[in-house]
Amino acid sequence: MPWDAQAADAVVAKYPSPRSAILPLLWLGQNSDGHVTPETVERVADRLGLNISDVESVLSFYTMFRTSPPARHRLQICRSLACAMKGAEEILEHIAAATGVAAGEQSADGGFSVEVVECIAACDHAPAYLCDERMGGPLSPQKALRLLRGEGGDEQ
Amino acid sequence: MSSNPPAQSPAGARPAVDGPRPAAPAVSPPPPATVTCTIDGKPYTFPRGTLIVNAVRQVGHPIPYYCYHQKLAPVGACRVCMVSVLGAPLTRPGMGPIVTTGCTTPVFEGLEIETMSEAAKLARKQVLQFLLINHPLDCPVCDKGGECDLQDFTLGYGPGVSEFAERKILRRKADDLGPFLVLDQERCILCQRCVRYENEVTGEQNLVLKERGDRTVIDTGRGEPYSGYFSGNNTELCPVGALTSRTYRFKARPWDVRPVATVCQGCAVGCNATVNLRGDRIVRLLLRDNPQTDGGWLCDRGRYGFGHTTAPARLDRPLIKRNGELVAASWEDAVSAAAAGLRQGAAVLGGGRLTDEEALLLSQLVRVGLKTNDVDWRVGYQTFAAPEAVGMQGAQIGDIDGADLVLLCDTSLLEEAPVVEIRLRRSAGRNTSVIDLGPVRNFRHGPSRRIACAPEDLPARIAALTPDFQAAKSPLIVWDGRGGEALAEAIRGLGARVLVPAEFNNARGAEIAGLVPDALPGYHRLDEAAVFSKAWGAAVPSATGRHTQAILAATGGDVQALYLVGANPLRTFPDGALAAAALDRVGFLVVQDLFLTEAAHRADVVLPALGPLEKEGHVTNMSGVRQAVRRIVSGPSGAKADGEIFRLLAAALGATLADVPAEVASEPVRLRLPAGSASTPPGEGLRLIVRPALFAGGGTAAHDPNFDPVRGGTVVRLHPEDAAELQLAEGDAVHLQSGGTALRAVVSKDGGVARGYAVLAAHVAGVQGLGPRVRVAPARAEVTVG
Amino acid sequence: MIRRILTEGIDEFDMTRLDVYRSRGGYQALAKALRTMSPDDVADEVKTSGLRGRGGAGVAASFKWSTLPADGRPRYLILNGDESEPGSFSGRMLIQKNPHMIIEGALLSAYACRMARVFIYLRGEFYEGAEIMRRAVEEARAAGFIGERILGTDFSQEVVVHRGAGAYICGEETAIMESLEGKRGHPRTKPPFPTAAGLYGMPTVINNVETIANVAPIVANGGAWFAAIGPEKSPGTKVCSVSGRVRRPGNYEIEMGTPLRELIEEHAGGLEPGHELKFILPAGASSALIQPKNLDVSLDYDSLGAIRSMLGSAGMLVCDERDCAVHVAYLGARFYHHESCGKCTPCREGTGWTERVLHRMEHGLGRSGDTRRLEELCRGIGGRKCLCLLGDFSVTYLQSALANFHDEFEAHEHGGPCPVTAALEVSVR
Ligand SMILES: Cc1cc2nc3c(=O)[nH]c(=O)nc-3n(C[C@H](O)[C@H](O)[C@H](O)COP(=O)(O)O)c2cc1C
Ligand code: SF4
Ligand code: FES
Repeated sequence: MPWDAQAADAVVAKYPSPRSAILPLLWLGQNSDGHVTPETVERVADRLGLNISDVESVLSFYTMFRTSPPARHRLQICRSLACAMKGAEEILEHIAAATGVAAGEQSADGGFSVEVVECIAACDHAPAYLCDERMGGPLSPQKALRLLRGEGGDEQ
Repeated sequence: MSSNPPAQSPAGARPAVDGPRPAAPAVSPPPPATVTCTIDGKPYTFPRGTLIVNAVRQVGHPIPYYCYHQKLAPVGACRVCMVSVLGAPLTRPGMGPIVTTGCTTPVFEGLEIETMSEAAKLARKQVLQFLLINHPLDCPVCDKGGECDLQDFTLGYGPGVSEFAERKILRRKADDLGPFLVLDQERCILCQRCVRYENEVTGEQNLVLKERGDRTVIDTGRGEPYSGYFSGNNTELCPVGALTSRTYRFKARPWDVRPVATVCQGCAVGCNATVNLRGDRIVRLLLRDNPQTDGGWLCDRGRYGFGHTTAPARLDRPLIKRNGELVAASWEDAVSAAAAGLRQGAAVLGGGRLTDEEALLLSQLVRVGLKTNDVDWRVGYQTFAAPEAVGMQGAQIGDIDGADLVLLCDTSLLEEAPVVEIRLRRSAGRNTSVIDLGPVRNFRHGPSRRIACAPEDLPARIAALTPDFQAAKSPLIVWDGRGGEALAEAIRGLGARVLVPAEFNNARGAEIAGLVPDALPGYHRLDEAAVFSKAWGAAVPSATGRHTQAILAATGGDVQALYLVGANPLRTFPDGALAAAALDRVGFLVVQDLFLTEAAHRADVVLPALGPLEKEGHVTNMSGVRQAVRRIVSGPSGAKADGEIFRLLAAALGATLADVPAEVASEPVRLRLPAGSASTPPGEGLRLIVRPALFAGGGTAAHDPNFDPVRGGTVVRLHPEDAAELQLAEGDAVHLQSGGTALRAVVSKDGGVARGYAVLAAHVAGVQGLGPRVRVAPARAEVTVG
Repeated sequence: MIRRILTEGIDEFDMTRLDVYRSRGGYQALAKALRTMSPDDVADEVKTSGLRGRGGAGVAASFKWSTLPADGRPRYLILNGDESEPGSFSGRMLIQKNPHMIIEGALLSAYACRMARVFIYLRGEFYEGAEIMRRAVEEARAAGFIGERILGTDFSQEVVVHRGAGAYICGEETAIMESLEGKRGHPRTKPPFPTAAGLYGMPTVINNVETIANVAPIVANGGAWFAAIGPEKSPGTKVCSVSGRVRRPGNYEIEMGTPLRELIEEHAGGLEPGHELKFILPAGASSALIQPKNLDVSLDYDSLGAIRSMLGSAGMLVCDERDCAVHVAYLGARFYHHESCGKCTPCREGTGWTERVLHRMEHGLGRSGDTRRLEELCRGIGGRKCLCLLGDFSVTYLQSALANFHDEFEAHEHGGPCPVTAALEVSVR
């Protein structure tokens, strides 16, 4: 759903208090622009009658919101217990060696980024990952490189 | 113009309720008002609801705390106020004591508290160790040194050595956060006092938490400067050196300052404060709570407005005009020159910045020395100071707390009585409904019903509010006295108490002292002049004098000389053209002030006066509360207190001023008000309105170096759609033209301004010279400003 | 005997489709309750069933429900689908594969407790889960199970699917309310407990999605039927998530009281060939480890409590001889450091300190005294000194590892290679 006043109103209407719509509205902004833009923050604040600083504070608490444009493909590799035990770190090293892009970085052409995340509740597929918005696993170094090229992987 | 729908609360979280409603609550008998518990083995009784942290302190077993603060709701974040407790329901029968936070636990019947159990001591010690691991330990260069809770509690309850041997997290240091605050994120212990203050007290949320975990920092929303008027309170709430004052930076240690109690004279609220002196210089102002006036807070104008006491531009000797130049003169020469010039046909303007005692002396000087009733303190927009003087019932500042309906009648508490606005913000979120009436939105930090209307329509709009006022239990009206009799009549019709913020800090004292053309001290009628003549030992004229407008109009005619006492009508009088013409025409001009104002430049004699922190006496606040003020610093050696100058002038005029006020008993007179504002005829351009702004102008603020960072250029506020029509963007430079004059200003778009208006701050140079309508044009090419 | 209640049919049928769910008896419990039972009758069945919360603490659902004050204020039900404990992923499966059972349970619970609204809070990373759940809610609404006058009765109910955005702490019951109110996920002080003053200050019940999913079968078959399954004090089934060094990681619904050994060796296929069990974390990263000697423990709340561990969310992380106790501790510490909300000093500062020490030890930079320091850190952070249990969670495994594998920690104090890894290399050679 793209951000527009009507979509925002529909979200706000679901809650007894408008403020509850902060996260859904920030999601709406991120989904339509790729990241949460300053304008989205301003619109959310305005729509919900909040201070911009208030929205910024909430925004910065939740790790899934981005405030800069994402790469075309985003590979998020879980490195929590089960996934680390099954070689998540080694895959990260392999990616870095093969592409020069380390965890937390973006490729120079903006084609892909590699991130680490904490447990995504897919330990049965360890090492698990989120590629763009799809959860999957187990990840192998080869599959990781395919995913970064946008060639898709298996679905969990 | 129509009334807008009620505004959203900025805090937003007034939850709607929904869904089905189960059965009504059962009524149970009220629990007893006190509870008895033991602290370190001894029994004590406390009012129900007393938090452990306060209970143990009251009986002399204090425990450390950071996040807790008397003026804020408990949050239980720092975890240092640990005590051992025993008693159901906190502990189950058979179970031993547990440690818990004293700041979030109220005492209850049978509770056993141990403040110095091994478990509690260890827990506190560990928390203190944790708090220091990422702290920079830069105490030698920290302004908080000596009054820092982190230092003190670590000494009292912390470990002797830290076990921490890892890399510290580095953060932003010594960051200027707007005009007055310095933020040091590394020193912050995340007690959230500032954040809660911003949330619960100002509602502005200038400071918020960003990020999370041990990456959490205190910051403004986007790293922008702190923009509110109440930033300084944060420096006192902050228990460590994370938020400090720019003005106090590296100025002193707490043990080499001397505290002196004072009353702020920045505006007519009269907040209580403590001045800290190092040697004979003021280094800072601190809170000195007075529930009746300030409610425990100061605004930044009050807190930081002491720079004028040492400003290089202060006048420190009298000046006399010779061959068109003001040259230094002795007090003897200046006073006799002034007296000579004022001897015939003089009128007096000003007095709203004097002490009560000085105002009374001036009142006498005018009557028995200058032998006239041509005197008026009202040199700005305000038409009266005491509601009782115009047939209204006055209110106390604290009445806002209990009011269920507050009408802001074209008046901004924030700009005119800032600390009082805090009260309104807090109660507006709860039981008070606010009506914000007038051409500009004045209440922006709480829910309100906004009714936009032209100034001339105010009386009719107010009359229409009669049903609301009849339905209210304890309604209150806030009106700064702008306008005239028609508006006053409408307000009287609502029958509510009235609170009047003042344009000059002691307007009320001046008015009581009789610095008005139609009353003598104590609002006595002029036909009682004989009684005053007797008390003062000289004839007191009984003919009604002229008010400011008439005096200004009569200069060059039978007003041959003008004596301006702490007054600069060129900046304050709404009809700036008249003021300018009047000062040009007048035969002889004496100006008594702290700085060489525009008016002083035109004077024949300039008399340097001492400022508010430099003399003693009393001042009367906007609610009529009299408070003593003391001499805290000496001021320029060549300046004299206004009262002393009045005595010298009187002597030179051959009069003596009595020390005692006249004792007269009679019905107070009712002051005459001007008829009221006529509507502005339609014409080209936008309607200009001029409204107070906290840091604009003022007798001391305009010249205070501490306020240099907040004195930007002249700003004109326009409705965004008007701005769009004129193809103007935020920050564009424009010329405001009216008649032959023009003023350069910068555009600020403001949805709170009604359409068709241009709003400027009062008391700023050049503003009063503009007419009732202005054309707003982009200032592309440089135009010579008239 | 394998009895499946929550996962019955989910491998064979697309239960996300309303028609499929209904064809297998779905929404009949709701119909039965609305037509033939009063709200109190439904609550009574749940009470009889003895259903305990599946989110962690194992509090009886009926106990929470019964503490709602009857004071006329609106009440709210929050389904906790934040599922962020490392090692727990049973909720993910139920959300993705059996959403209608969760919704039906939510409607029944809301009916029983006279809720004003139901919120299903799903962790932000469940993109697909949220889509599936939203679609299921819309389908149910279209079919008249959600909205005004459900099934033509007087009962009306709204269900809102709400997505988080990356914060483990929002699974905590007061943080989830803050988050739902549009704030940072900072836990609140208790008391007041959520049932007294929760979401928007109103009485609120927070239950795990799996807890709620059980309500439909309970109402359909009767509380007594449920109470008869498994041990008396931990009735019903539990979907256990098994991960780590087993042959078949995955979710397995078992009857409560099943021995841990059966879950690991039969359902999950035993350890990877050639490897030996070292320890198990039964409730994700936040639980005390279980030693191989306790493998026959019965999987229920009380039996695991008796061996000083916990069933919690039953996220079983299985470790073998390749897993150094220090390494696992480091991975856990890194997680809790990342996820501490930052409100309480001990948790905020202590989790970071713990991670830094373990990071050094992991990377051959141990110092003498590190083991003792870790023990002290555990005491400084744990012991319920914080507002919520995240601080305690962060030290639970560590404390048990320090007690059971003290020598591994001490070995890491002296720089050098990890003895576990070194031993492995020797055996490989
Ligand atoms: C730090 C922390 C994280 C938690 N995360 C979850 C979670 O992801 N899912 C969950 O159901 N309960 C979680 N809980 C437990 C909840 O606070 C709460 O007890 C539970 O949702 C109640 O549901 P139940 O009674 O149905 O088990 C967490 C608790 C803590 C202290
Ligand atoms: S224990 Fe940790 S996660 Fe829980 S409230 Fe305190 S700081 Fe936040
Ligand atoms: S003062 Fe009690 S937790 Fe901070």
